[in-house]
Amino acid sequence: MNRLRQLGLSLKLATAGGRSAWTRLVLVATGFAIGSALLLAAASIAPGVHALDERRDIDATIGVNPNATNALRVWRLPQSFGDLDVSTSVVAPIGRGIVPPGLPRVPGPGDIFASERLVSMWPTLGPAIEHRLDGHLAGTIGRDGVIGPDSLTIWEGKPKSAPLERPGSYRTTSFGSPASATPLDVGWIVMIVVVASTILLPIWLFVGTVTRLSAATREARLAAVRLAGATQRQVRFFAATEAGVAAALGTWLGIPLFLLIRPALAAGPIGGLHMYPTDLAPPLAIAIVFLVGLPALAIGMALASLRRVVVSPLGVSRGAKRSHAGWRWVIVLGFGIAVLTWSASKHRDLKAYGDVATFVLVGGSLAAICFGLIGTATWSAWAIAHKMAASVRTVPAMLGFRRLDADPGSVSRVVGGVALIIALLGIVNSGLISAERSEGPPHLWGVGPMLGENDVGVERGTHRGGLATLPGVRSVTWTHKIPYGRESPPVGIVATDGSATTVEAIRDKLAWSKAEVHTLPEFWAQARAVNDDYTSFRRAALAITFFLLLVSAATMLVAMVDWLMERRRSLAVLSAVGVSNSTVRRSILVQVALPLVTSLAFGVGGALLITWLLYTAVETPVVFATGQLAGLVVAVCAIVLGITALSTPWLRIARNPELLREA
Amino acid sequence: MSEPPNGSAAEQTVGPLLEAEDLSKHFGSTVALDGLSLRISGGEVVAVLGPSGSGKSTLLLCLAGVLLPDAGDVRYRGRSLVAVSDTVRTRLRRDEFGFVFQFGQLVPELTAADNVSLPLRLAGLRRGDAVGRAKEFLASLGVEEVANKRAGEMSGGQAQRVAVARALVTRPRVIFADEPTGSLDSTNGELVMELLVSTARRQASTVVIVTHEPQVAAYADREIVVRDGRLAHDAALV
Repeated sequence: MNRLRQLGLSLKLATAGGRSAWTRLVLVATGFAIGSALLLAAASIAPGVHALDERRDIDATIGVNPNATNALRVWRLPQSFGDLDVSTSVVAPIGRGIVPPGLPRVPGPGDIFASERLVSMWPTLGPAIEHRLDGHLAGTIGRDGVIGPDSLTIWEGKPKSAPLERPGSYRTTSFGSPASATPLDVGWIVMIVVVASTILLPIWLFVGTVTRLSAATREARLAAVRLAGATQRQVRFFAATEAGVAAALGTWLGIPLFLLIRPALAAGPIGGLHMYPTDLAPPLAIAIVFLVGLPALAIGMALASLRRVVVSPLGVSRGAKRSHAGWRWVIVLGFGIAVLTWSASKHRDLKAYGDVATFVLVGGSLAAICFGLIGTATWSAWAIAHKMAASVRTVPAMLGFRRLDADPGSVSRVVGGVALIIALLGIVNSGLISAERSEGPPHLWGVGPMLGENDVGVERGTHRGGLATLPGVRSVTWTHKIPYGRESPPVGIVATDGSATTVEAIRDKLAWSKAEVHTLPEFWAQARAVNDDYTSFRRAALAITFFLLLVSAATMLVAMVDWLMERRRSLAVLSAVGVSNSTVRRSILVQVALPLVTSLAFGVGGALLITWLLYTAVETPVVFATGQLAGLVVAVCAIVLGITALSTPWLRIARNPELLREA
Repeated sequence: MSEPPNGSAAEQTVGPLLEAEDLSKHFGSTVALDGLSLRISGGEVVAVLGPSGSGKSTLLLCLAGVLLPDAGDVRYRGRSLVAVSDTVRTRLRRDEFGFVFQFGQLVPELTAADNVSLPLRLAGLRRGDAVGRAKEFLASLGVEEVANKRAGEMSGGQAQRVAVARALVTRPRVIFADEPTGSLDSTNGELVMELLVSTARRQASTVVIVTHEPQVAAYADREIVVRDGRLAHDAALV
């Protein structure tokens, strides 16, 4: 039989199981689609940040040649309109001049070129800008002339009326080119992908679980194919095709899914950076590795799982008994904890060993703890089930524990993943809280602490005249002394009537003075920005954790439903002999609760222990993220009840007494 | 092992133990039972025979209150199984009936002792007592060596004897057996039937066996033949 015909037959066999076969294919494809989309997103982070860096470099890098005949004189003038700060550059050509990045030409006197974001706000903001800068909107700055989509930037040709002088300006002969930016570091991309793959562990577990769906039915089908004359090799080909096609379909569907989520990713969740969606483009080589590698991985997994079973015409037999030697992970975990404890106890002396040795010690022990945590949590869930199955008194508990003991498989695999993500969330959040606290509470600086409720602060101005005569201005005070006993260039404290019109009038008056003019609420907003960043990071970490918990819950639900469907005849028999629905439902509760509670215990325990040891070792104040961990405890309890409730409809189907009539 | 079934002899009702009246049951356009009526007395061993698709298994499941008929009624000790709630039927099956099926009846994750003790534990017996009694039953059926093995670790004959033990361990008033030897060779089949019927007789349990094998029917006191969902033949076996 040639390969093409075998392929066709494989696909027919893969979909021959009716609705359950299609469900399985769809779930496998969905899992791979989510996985590949998130991996593509992870691989695009570094190029996205790099693109931002490139544009920042273009903006910041200038060439200076005093003898050049064609150059551009540039005045950088910070401007504020309401609570928006607009980066404003006023230019005047020397000779023919040079064209600023993103502009079609050198702006003529009063020509204003604004960034896309600013142009979109022009109907409301435009008149104020044109009035203050004595110009008119002449065009939009192209994407290579702004750092990101939220940039508020203006290039203006120097109006004849502008009282600007050569001091305080600079003369440039060129702006930076892409070549001036730091080259893209492939190692960084690989590291991000490795970290992302680890964090995506629950998704790979989901994929692993759905690839094993209806295993008994599929193996029986393969045995029937063997009986019909297929060789062992052909059976392996059928199994590989079935897994590979669904995985390839899902992986490639990950491309449109990635394109769909890309605008949301570009809008700030990656470290608060605002990028153009097109900035988030994974390198082609890495994308190809994913698109080919993931289906190959699925085929490898399918073939590896077949190595443990012998498919013969008479049925399927398992080659080896499941090993429960997971206790070895306790040694790995213990080793990691021991090394980290030693590092923590010697934290004052660690610096003497040098950065590399410290990194190896702390990083190595952390890796050992992570792997040990996954293995130990998984093994413990089985060991508890094994122990409890022999001693438990109630029937629902006996059914639940016996099932976990006999078939730890899919449900227990979730344990390690959930334990790890809970532990990681705890550690990361503790670090963020610690760093945030070391920043201290938001505080004002510069002229800020000297302002009253209706005062306006003026910093870095080159001239200061005429403010006192403005309507709404009550007094103007200039001083060199700012809080904390420091001296500074003169700063102004302008007492006003508190109206926005007065504030804008002050800014208009100082438009060409390079002064920064802000109200007290604006100073507070700047002060809070640093703490807001930490809060955003913490929220993002929590959101990722909840998403991964939901994926883990989906894995358990799929595994549970699969168990109910594969066991439907024996469940129907239980129904006939008088085992009530509530008994089986409570046994499901046990099957869900034990693995999740075990993972929760290891996750929370791991988070607290590692936080304490790690931050002591690296001499960072230890703070426990108790609030987030408590939130996770509630979430896990909700998941346990949710899965039990969601599996009820399938339980009813599985216990249908009509199944007893089937031969 | 020779105790009477659940409840004392004084509680025995006068008249038939099980009574089916004008039973009809359809599955889509297929007619499984078509106005079938039947009475079974306490202590009787009844064999229900008939060709494939004749409605034998449906009759058994309706008599046991597992399936509800579309029309007609089933009465156990004078009480309608159709009129009572599912919870009552479930409790009745657990406390008064025992079941033996052709295959897939043991919970795969449980050991033989756990499987047999399951109905006792559901009835409220303490774990230790239930497992002890289950092991006694397994020993009486000659399969004590598989007490700590799971279903997948037993032979077909051993699994079926464990299933018989589970059906009999509560000393039910009625035992329903659907093709109990269908998956066994003749030697094991005879052994299982011998154990099932002799233990049931010792316990004074009523037995309803669905089969298409005359050798199995030979263990019964009475033979009923179902054809096209109707009673085609009903006679005592000598």
